[in-house]
Amino acid sequence: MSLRLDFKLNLDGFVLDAQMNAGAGTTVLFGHSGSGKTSLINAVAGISTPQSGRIVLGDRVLFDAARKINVPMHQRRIGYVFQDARLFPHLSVSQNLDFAGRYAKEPSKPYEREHLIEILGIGPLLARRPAALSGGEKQRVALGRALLSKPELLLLDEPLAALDQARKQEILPYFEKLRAQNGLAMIYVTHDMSEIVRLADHLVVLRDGQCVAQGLAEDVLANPANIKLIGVQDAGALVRGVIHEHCDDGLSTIRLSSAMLTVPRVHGPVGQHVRMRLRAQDVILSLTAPQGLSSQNAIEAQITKILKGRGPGVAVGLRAGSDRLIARITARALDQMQLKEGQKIWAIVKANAVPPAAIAGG
Amino acid sequence: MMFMRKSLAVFLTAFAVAAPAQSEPITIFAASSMKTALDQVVAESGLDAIAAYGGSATIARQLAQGAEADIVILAHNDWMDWLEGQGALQSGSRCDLLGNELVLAGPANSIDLDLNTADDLLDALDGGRLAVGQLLSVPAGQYTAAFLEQRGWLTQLRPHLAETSNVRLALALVARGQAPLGFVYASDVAAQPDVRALFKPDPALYPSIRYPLALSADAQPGAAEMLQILTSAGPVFAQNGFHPLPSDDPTACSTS
Amino acid sequence: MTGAELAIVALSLKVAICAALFSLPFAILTAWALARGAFPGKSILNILVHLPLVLPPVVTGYGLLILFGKQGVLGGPLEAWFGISFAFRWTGAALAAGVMGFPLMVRAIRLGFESVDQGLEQAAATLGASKRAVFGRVTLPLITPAILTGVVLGFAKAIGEFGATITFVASIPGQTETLPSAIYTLLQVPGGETAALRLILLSVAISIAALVLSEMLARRAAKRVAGI
Repeated sequence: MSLRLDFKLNLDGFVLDAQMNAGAGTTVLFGHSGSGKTSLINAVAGISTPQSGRIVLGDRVLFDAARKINVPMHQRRIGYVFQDARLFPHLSVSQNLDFAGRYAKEPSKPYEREHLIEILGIGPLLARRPAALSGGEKQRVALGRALLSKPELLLLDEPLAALDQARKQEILPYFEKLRAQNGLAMIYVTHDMSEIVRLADHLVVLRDGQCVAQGLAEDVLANPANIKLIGVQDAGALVRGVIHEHCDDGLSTIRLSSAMLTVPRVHGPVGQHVRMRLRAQDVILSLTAPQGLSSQNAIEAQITKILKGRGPGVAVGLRAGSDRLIARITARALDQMQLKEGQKIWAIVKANAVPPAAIAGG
Repeated sequence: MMFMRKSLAVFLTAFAVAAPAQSEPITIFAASSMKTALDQVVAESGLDAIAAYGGSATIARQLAQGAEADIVILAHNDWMDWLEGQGALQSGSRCDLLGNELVLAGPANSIDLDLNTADDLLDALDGGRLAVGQLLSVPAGQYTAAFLEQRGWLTQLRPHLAETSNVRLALALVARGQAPLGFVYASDVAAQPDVRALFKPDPALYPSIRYPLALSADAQPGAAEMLQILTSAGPVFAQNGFHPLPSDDPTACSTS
Repeated sequence: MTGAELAIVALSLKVAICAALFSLPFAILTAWALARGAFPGKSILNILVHLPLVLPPVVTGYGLLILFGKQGVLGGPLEAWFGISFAFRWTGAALAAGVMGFPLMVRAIRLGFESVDQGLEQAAATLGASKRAVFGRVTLPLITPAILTGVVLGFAKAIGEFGATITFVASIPGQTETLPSAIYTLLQVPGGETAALRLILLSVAISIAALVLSEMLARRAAKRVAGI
C-alpha cells in the first residue's frame, strides 16, 4: 500500500510543504521537534486539512484540493497510535479493543484478536481501565486497538517518546514484530535515530516543514550530503551483516561484506542477519593500515565522495565491499591528508561505537 | 480654631435638623385591581407619591413585617381585619374607599349571556375553563365563590375552574382567549378593551365588594393630604369602572 | 400526610421529572451547539437560552401564554396537528417548569462538552467511528457527570417553579397545583401558615433528597469516566 502526498498546510504561521512517496513497509519520518512531523501525519489522517495539494493512499484519493475531495477521518481506514495513547478512559482495555473491532471495515476474527493480544502481551490487562495502566502498557493497548481497526496504513506519532529507556527497549520488539509480520504499511514518526535502525525501510527527513530527503533508509543515511540535514550527532550509515561468532571476552564478531566488525556482545544466534548504524563521527580515517590502536575494527574502503560544508566539518562517503559508510572529519584533516575521491583509505570504528541498541535483527 | 469648630458644629446640626423636614414620597400599597385607576389619581394629584401593587395577602404580610407604606388599600376586609389585629394600622383611620362589582367577562365581540342554571354556564364555557381568582384567597375569587355557592352552582363548576393568583391574571386569560369566560371586577373590564361584561351576577348574592383603606401605624404626616385626595377622587375611580360609595354609607371614607 | 397532600406531591414529582427528562435532549443539543458550533446567530441563541434565567418568571409565563396558549403561535398548530395541548393541564405545568430549568441544564452540560478531551474524539474517528458514533459512544459517556448535574438542577428548579406556572396554567388541583402553588395558596389565607408548614417541609425534603442523589450519581459517574 503506497502513500503519495504533495500538499501545503498552513498552521498558525507554520507552513508545511510536504512531498512524499512512501511504499510498502515502514517509513520513518525523522525530524527535530517543530519540524512538522506530527502536522504531516495529522493531515494524512484527516485531522487537519491542507490548503492545497493531494493525498493518495493506494488507489484511493483521500484529499484533493483542486477537485474538492476530502474524505472524512472515519472513512480513511488509517490507524493512528498517538503519543499519549488516547485510550478511552470510560472503557476497559477489552472494550477499547472492541471499539476498534466494531467500526473496522471487516472486523477481525476472534483468533486474530487473540493472537494480537498474545503478541502484545496485553492478556492480563483486559479487564483493567486505562487509568490503571503504565505508560508502556497503554501504548501496547493503543497499538492493538489501532491494528484491530484493520487499517490500510498505520501512523505512529513518536509512540515511545513518553517512555523511559527500559520501557522503550521493552516495546520496540513489538513494533519490530509488526514490521516483520504484517506487511502493514507504517509511518513511524520519531526524533530518535536509534529507533530508525530497528524499524526503517524508508526514511523521510523533515526539516522546517520541508521533506529534505527521502528514499530507502540505507540510501538516505549513506549519502554524505544528508549529514547536515540529519544532524551531525545522528548521521551515520546503515550496514548489514551476519553474526559470525560470540567470543568469551564479551565481544561478538559480525561479518560485513568485506570486513569483520568486533562489537560488544549482541543478542541473537550465530548466523542471524543484523543491521547496524555506524555514526559518522565515530568513523576515523587513516591513510595506512592502523597499527598499535586499541580499536579492533579497521575496514579497508574506498572514498566515493567528499563534501565540504561551510563549517569545519567535511562529509566523506566510503564504500567497503557492498557496504556504504560515511565519516565526518575536519577540513583541516582533509587538507593534511590530501584525500581525493576514489582514494583507498582505512576506516576505523571503535567497538563501543556500536552498542547493542544500534544493532537490530536484519 | 475654636470659631471654626463651632461653626462646623452649627452647620452640621442645622443640616441634620433640616433633613427630616425633607420627606420621602408617600407610598401607597394597593390591590392589583386598582392599578389603572390609582395610577391616574396619583399622577393627577401633583403630590410626591408612589403606588405599589400586589395581591392583598402579600401586601398585608409585607406591611406587618415593617414595609414602609403610608397608605394601604386592599380588596377584601379579611386581610384588613388581620392587619388591624397585627397593630399595623393607625387606629381610627380605617374606612371603605370604593366598591366594585363582579362581572362575568368574555371576548369583546361576544353577545350578552342569559344564565339561569349551572348548565347554562357550562354550555357557555363549551369545554373550556372558567378563569377566576383563587377561591380561598384572592378577593375576587372569594366574592365569586360566594356568588356561585349562593346559586348552588359551585359543586358543578369546581372541576371546570382555572384559579389564578390574582384577578388581573384571570383577566389576561380571558383576554388571550386561553379561557372563554372569567369572573373579574367591573373595573377590570373597563381597563381591558379586549373583553366585555357578558353577565352581571346579582350583587345581592355576594358580600358587597369593599376596598378598605387605612393609614399604616407609622405613616408620614403628609399621608393625610393624599388620603383626602383619594377620598375625593370618586369621579376618576368611577371612570375606571369602580363604584364610589354613596356618602351616606356608614363605613365609607368621608371627605371631611 | 393527607390524601390531598399526597396527590399534590405526586403531581409535583410528575411535573418536575417530565420537565427535566423531556428538556434533556434539547438541552444536550443546545449545549453542544453552543460549545462546539460556529454559526451565525450563536450569540442570539445563547441569549435566548438564558432569558428564563434573567426575566421575571411572570414574564416568562406570559411569554408561554402567547406562544403556547390556545391561540398561541405554536400552541394552536400543536393542538391541531398533534393533539398536544398545554392549557390548564399538567403538560403546561411541565412545559413551564422545563423552560425555567432549561438554562441551568444547558449551562451544566455545556461545561461538560467544553471539558471533553477532543483528542479522544479524534482517536475514535481514526478507528472508523462516524461523527454520530463518536458523539454517542465517546462524547456523551464522557459527559455523563455533567448531564446528571444538569438533570438534577433542572429537576430542582422545576419542582420549585411557581411564577411562570401560575401565570401560564393557573393553579388547578390535580392538574397544575404543584407544591409551590399549594404552599402559596395556603399562605394567601390569614393564618394559613401552619397548614402550609407540612408542605414546606416536604418541599425541602424532596430538594435535599434530589441533591444527595445527584451527588452520589455524579461522583460515581465521574469515577467511571476517569477510568477508576
